[in-house]
Amino acid sequence: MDVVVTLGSSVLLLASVYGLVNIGFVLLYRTTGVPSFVQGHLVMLGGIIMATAQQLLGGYLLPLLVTIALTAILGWLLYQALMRFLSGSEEFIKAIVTFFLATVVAEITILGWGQGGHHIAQPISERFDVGRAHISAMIFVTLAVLSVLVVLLYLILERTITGIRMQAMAENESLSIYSGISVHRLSALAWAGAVALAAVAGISYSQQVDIDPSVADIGLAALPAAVFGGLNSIPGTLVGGLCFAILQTGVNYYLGGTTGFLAIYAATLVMLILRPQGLLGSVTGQRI
Amino acid sequence: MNAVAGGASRFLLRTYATGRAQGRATKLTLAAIAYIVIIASVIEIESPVITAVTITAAFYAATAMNLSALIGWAGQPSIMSAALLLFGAGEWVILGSLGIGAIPSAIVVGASGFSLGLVVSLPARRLTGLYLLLSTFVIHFLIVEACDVAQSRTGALAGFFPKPLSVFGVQLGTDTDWIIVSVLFLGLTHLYLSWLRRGTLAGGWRVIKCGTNIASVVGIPVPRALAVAFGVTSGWTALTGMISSAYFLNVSYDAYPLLMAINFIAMVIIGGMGSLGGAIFGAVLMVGLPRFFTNVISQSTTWASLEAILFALIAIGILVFAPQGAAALFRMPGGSRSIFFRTRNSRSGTRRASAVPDGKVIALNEVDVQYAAGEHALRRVSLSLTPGKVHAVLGQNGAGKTTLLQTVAGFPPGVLAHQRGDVSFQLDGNSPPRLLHSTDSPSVRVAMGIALVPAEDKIFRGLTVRQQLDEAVHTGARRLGTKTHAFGLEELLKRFPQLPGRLDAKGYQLSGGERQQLALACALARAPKVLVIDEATLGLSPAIGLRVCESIRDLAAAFRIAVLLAEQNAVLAERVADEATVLLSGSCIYQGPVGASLTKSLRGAYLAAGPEDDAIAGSARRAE
Repeated sequence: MDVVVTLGSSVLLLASVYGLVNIGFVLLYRTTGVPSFVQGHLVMLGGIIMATAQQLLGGYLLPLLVTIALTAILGWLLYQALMRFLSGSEEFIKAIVTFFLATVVAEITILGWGQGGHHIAQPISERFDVGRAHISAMIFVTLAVLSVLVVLLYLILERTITGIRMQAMAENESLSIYSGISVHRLSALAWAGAVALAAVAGISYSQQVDIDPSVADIGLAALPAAVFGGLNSIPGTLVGGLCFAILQTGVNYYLGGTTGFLAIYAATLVMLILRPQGLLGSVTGQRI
Repeated sequence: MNAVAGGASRFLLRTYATGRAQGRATKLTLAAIAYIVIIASVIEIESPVITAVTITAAFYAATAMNLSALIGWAGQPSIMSAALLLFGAGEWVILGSLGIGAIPSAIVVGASGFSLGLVVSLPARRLTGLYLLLSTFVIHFLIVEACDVAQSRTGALAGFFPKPLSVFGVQLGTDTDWIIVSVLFLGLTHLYLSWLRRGTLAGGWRVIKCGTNIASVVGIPVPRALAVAFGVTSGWTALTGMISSAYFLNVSYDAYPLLMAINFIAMVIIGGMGSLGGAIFGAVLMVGLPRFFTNVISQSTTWASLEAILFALIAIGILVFAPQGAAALFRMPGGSRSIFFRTRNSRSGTRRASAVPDGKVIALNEVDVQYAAGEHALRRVSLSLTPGKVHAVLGQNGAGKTTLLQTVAGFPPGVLAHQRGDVSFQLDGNSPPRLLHSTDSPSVRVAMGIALVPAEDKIFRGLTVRQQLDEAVHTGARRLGTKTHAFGLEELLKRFPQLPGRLDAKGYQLSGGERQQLALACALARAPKVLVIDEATLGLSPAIGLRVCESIRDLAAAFRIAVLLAEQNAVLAERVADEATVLLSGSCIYQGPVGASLTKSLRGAYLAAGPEDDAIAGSARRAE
């Protein structure tokens, strides 16, 4: 029972972090058509910026807001300075550029902050005891944040003119330009949102680990989770994240070591071969 | 050792020279001599750094060449090169420890690499682009994590130590041996891939790269060809991994990170995708430069980071500005995506706009359009549009109708067109005329009051009718600077009787006629002064087509919109248009009122049927 509670709470946290990374990924992929392999590194960068801001400013809420603002600006700049020149390029080229961006982000963090870990002090330290195990209250805060963000994203995409334009842009870039949609402005907005979401994911993850360069690997596991659930659907990426969190935590517990990673990549490969659109994805949208 | 080198050179010369065309034989002889010179001079220099760089670069170049072939010839992206090397290396660890010799092991490694390639190609049967990249991404981690787990299970935390390679009783041990073996292996790889390139197999890949549809029409079995493409390159890469592991004498999962796979892609990109020599160049650069910097400038980790950033930025720069590879930079002016072409295009912006004739809203003056690929789409076409009137553009497929429409509404993203002659736009008598450039994006033109309804894909399939109308009304209101304007949702719904009942239907659920109505309604909601419509009746029944045309005519008159309408159906066009232009191979052969003389020139245009490939070129361009 204690084991189940402990594992359950790590599954919940991991699933939420995957969810936060992936809604950023899906937002970017659905609106700009860029499959961003830099998300994991942005998670790490966001966490490090938060840790630094906390050192300088103290507290939790103020550094959090500063981090979100800074990372959103970073995303906007990233688009305006680089990604906008890739509009009209092949998807493969866009993906490879994000790989190189990941290298740049990784090396910049090593240059600026070194290889060490950064601790982020949590605002809530309450724990619920269940038998001999306990669950941190922060996990529920993270879950609440994830839910709010998902609902917010859904409302923005479906109910606002900006969201409709983002969807239009994702579906048919050429037609949306002929419809007078300013593609560059919306794409920059999507990048700002996605980078800020990655930062929120990093900050959430910091309740379990210190933020160091290896945190970037989270992106490498979150992406297969999105594929497993369905790249073109937000519920799909959440379900995929949950499945993978269970699989990874369970396999790691029973088989030990890093076998969990092996299990999720094997599951992704099987899914790609049998049902490439993922659990909840639709066949029609290769690039929705 | 010189005897070995000499024997090798004789072998290479014989292999290269037999049965090949004279020019190729000469070229390859030179290549062989270059190999010998490299081998001899590296041995002669006796510098451990240069030796290590040469051997590593040779193995990496062999890997990069296979990747270059896969990406550049077959158009299949892959980021599992590093994992394939590890795969081959790991197999050699196992086979070597079982006491199996080098040559049988090489055969096993090659064959298993080939089979692995076949498995990876399974998703490629149905998927392209990102999904394919993802499956190679997953394979990378599967292999690397499997090695990680194996290492932690067996306690081999520092990695496995494979047996040294011995061929025919000769054990490869010294650096000199390895220089000869690695450079010869590189030559062999080059030979193998060049042979592949000349064969029908690679020919098929190139067709697939142009488009799987074309390939299946030509009769190429796409899944099988792709499976073989993955198979042969993966098999050879695994073999490279096996041989190189015997040189490095250590196999550990952390020596094959994802970054290594990305670096292979960087090598291919630097050298130009599909170029074998380019891949060698990229490998030498990426292996050699860091060692050079480390030895000459600084050994600090800071420098290593700066260097990694520099390489990444260079690769990004090449991808953004010259995706054909660095080599393409040197032959830019004729290239299809050249930087020079872009700047030349936009420079014409400083000239003053000539006035638009009285009573007209837009005027084209001797406009000439040539696409970057070289085809001439429009030749000295002049045209002016009157508010409230419909101007039809007639002509066959490929006559230049869509291009003419795009000079008014703007060219789609990614299409580079070189335009001469002025397009001037004047909203009304009071505002100053404005010159439109070929680089002015369509969305800028929408804000000025020019809207386009394309021939195909004219609505968003995934959005509901209401969402699309809301969005368009919003754009129109912003353009006019008012919240309520003549084209509010209610007015639109009154004008388009089929739409009110379908407000919550998504685009893909609409019939052809409903799609045309929705597209027209959205265009109208953007409050245009000029409405450009491409093939309004395409795919509609004659009765519905006529109704659509009549509604276009009514809209033009009611809202004093100048309509430019491209139409294949001359009969329909004559019924709705006030004026017409007839195009033949990009030139205007008639311009004037609709009537008997139009009919006569049309007969001329259609009887003087242009060559068939013109029509194909036209439809191919439109498909883009």
